[in-house]
Amino acid sequence: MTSILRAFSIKQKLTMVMLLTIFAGVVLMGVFFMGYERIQSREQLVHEITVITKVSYSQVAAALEFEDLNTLQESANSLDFDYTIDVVCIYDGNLSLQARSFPGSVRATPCPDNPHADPSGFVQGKYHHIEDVFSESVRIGTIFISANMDYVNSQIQRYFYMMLTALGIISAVSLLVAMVLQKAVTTPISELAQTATSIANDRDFSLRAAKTSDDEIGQMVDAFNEMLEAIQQRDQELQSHKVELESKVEERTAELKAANQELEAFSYSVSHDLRSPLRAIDGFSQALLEDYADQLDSPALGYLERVRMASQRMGTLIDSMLWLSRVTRQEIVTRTVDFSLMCEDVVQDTQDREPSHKVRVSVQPGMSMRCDSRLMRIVVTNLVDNAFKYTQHASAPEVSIGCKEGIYFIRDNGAGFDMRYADKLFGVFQRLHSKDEFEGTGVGLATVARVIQRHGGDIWAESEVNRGAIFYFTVSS
Amino acid sequence: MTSVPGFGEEEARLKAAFIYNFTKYVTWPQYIEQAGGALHVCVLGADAYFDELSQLAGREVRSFKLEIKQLKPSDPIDSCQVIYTSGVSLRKFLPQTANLPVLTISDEPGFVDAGGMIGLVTEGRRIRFDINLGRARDVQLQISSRLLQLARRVESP
Repeated sequence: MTSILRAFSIKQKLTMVMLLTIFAGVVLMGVFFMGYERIQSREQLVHEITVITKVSYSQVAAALEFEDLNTLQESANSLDFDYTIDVVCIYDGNLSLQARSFPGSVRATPCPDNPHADPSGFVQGKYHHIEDVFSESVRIGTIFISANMDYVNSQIQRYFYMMLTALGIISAVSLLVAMVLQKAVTTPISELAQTATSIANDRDFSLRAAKTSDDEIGQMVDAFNEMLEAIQQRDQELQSHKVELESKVEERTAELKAANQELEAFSYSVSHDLRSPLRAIDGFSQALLEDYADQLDSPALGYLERVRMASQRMGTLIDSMLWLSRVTRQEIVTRTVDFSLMCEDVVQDTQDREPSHKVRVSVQPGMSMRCDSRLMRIVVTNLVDNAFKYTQHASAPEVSIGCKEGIYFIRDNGAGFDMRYADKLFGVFQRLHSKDEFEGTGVGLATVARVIQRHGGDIWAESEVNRGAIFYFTVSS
Repeated sequence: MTSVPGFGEEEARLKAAFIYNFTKYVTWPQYIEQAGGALHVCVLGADAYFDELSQLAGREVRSFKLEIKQLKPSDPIDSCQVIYTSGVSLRKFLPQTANLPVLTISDEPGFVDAGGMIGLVTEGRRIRFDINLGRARDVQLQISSRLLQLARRVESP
C-alpha cells in the first residue's frame, strides 16, 4: 500500500483520500439503506397482509360457519389484492380446502395440502401467512396466504440503482470540490517543497518560503525559515572564520618561509664562510708539517696531525651541511630511473673506496623508480654507506637491496640500533653511536629523510641491537 | 322425510350447526345479553331434529350457555331465546312471538314471508337461509351484517 502511494504527489493522495472516504461513505450508506429498505419492505408486506387478513377475518368466519362457498371465494379473491400475493387458500376446520383465489388464473400457485406445514414467515423467498379462524374458541378454518418478494426485491433494486446514480453524482461533485479544496492544503506544501528543492540544488540559503497559512504547514514554513536563517548565519560565520584562517595561514606560511629562508641562508653562508678559515687552518698546519718538520719534536707533530684531522672532519661536516641545504632547495626533476643499476653502481663505488671491507651485497634486479636520479643517488649512497659502516665489526657482512609491494628496503646484518631511539634516527646531528665506535656526522640520514620527503614518500627503519637493521622507504607514484 | 336421499342425517347436523351459528350473529336486547347464563333454544314440532339439536347443549356463545328444550304447542314460549319450529301451524304460532325477543327459525317454506325471522332453505346438498330483518328489529334483535351478507334474501320493511 505505502509503496504504491509513494509514487503519487500529496495533491493526488489528498484527492484520492477524499474521494475514497466519500466513496466508502456513500457505499456504506447505500448498503445500510438497502438493508433497511429490505427490512422495511418485508415488514410492510407482513403488515399489509396481516391487516387485510384481519379485515376479512369475520367475513371468512361467517362464510365458513355457514359453509357459504361463494362468499369464501369472494373473500379469497379480495385477499389476493395484487401481484404480490401468489395465492390465498381458505380451509375449513378439518383443513380441507374450501376456496382458493382466482382458481383459473395463469399464475395459479397450488395450495398446500397442510397449511400448517410451516409457521408464518419467510420461506424460500416467499412469505407465508397462516391465520387460523376461530369462533367461540373453536377453530373453524384457516386462511393461508403465500406472497412473493417481487415488490420487495424491485424496491431494493431501485435503491441499488439510486445508490449507483448517487455514487456517480457525488463522486463527480466531490472530485471537483476536492480538486478546489486540496489546493488550500497542497499549494503551501508544494511551494515549501519547491523552495527546499531549489535551496538544495543552488545552495542559496538566502531564499525564504512564503507563509500562506497559520496551520501546521504555516508552522513548518516558519520553522523552515528559521532554520534557513540559522544556516545562513552559521554559513556567514564559517565563511568569515575561513577567510580569517586562510589569511592567518598565509601570514604564518610567509613568516615560516621567511624564517626558513633566513635559516637556510644563514646555514649556507655559515658553512660557506667557515670553509676558507678551515682551509687556512688545514693548509698552514700542512705547511708547518712539511716545512718545519725537522724543527718540531714528535709531540708537536702529533698535535699538528690532530689539528689537521679535526679540521678535515669539520670540512666533511660543513660539506654535509651544504649537501643538506642543497637537497632542501634544489628543484626536483623526476624521470624513470633503473634503480637496480643505480644501486649496483653505488655499491661498486663504496666497495672501491674501502677495498679492505669485504661485504656480500645482493641487489634485486629489474627495479625501476620515478624520481630525481641525482637526489635518489644521495639516498642510496647514504644508506649503502651506513650499511657498510655498521657491518664493519660483523663476521660475515651482508647487505641486500630490494623492493616489495612498492616499498624499497636495504637490509644489513650489522650493529643495528635500539628501537627506543628510532624517532631520533632521521634528525640532524642525531647520532645513536659514538664517533669512536662508528665514523659519522649525523647529517646523512637527515639528508636521506629530506630527499624522501621531497619525493612525497616516507622512510622508517626496524632494528634490533647487533641483529642488523632494515631501512624502508617509499616514493610517491 | 327429505327430498334428497341420504342427506337426512347430514342435513340435520348442518341445520343444528346453523342454529348454533345464528346465535353468534344475533344480539338479544341488553338485559338478556348482560344477564348471560342459559340461552334457551326451544324446539317446537321438529322432533326429528331434536336429537341433533340437543347435542348443542352446553356450547358457549359469548356469555351464554346453550340449553335445548322441547316445547309442546301449548307450552309458554317467553323463556325461549331461540325457537326452532317445524311442522306446526305458523298462523297459530307466529303471533305468539310477535312481541317477544325470540329468534324464530324454521325450514317451513314461506316462513319468512309469514313473519318468521330466519327461514332455512335446502338447495341441493347445501343449506341457505332467508332473513326477515324487519321482524327481528321489531323485537330488538340485532342481526349482524355478516349474517345478512350470507343470507340468500333479506326482507326489510
